[in-house]
Amino acid sequence: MKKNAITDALCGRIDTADILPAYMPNVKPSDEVKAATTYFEVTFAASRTQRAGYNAASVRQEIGILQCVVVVPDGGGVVDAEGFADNIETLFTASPILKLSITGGEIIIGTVDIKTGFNADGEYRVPVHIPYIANQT
Amino acid sequence: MTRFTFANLGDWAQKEKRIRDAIVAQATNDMIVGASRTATGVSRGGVVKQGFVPRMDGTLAASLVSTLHGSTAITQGEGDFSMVVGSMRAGDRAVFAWTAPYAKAKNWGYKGQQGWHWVEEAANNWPVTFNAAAARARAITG
Repeated sequence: MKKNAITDALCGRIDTADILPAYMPNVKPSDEVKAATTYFEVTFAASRTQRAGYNAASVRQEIGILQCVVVVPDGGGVVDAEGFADNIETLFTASPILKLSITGGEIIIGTVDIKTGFNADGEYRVPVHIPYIANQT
Repeated sequence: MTRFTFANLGDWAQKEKRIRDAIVAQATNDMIVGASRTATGVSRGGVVKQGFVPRMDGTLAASLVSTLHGSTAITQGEGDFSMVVGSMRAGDRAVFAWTAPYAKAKNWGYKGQQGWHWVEEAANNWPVTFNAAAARARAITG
């Protein structure tokens, strides 16, 4: 299970859903993304890796939080922003639990957490946190 | 070696409860100490260090508020959470919050500025912090 596969699966899910233009971690934004005033900003808020045992061959696990911030222009109300946040929640929710298969592992998505929005620098931003556990299989 | 019998069940249970309380208080203390680490803010020439509180003039770091059981803030200030941590028992609900107006923007990021994510880093590391406190308690109590 490679780090790159985890990043691809999580960020790729937002990218291919094509809901809004999105800034991705360390990706040079396209002209479309740069021109957008309503967009997603995707980053990893935290991550750590652990093994089930001390042996280097033991099962590896990555536990982290993907952050997708919904950004809309300042002063336009919260309905649009929270609607897009709901879309992200739906994208990462399944019954009973969302599992994403990756090469050499599986990502289990936890309960998506939509934070209270805030104004900053002429924008209104609603962070959405997607907790995940990637297990080596 | 302590020998368990029904005669000392009460003492044994009390001892276990005190150990649990001590682990919760120690782990909470360690988590907030970790989350409160500061680094020079970008406006003072620093770079974004994920997991640290940015320090420009100290206002953000000093805006840490601690409450227990939903009380009004009982402590406020950088590194000032000992009253809450010291009063905590296993099962208690405490809240630690950075209340500066721009705390959310600094933690989660804003236009052109990456988030510092000190809250998420601390929360994500909670199981590690808790296990470390439990291991210390185990080592001390035998």
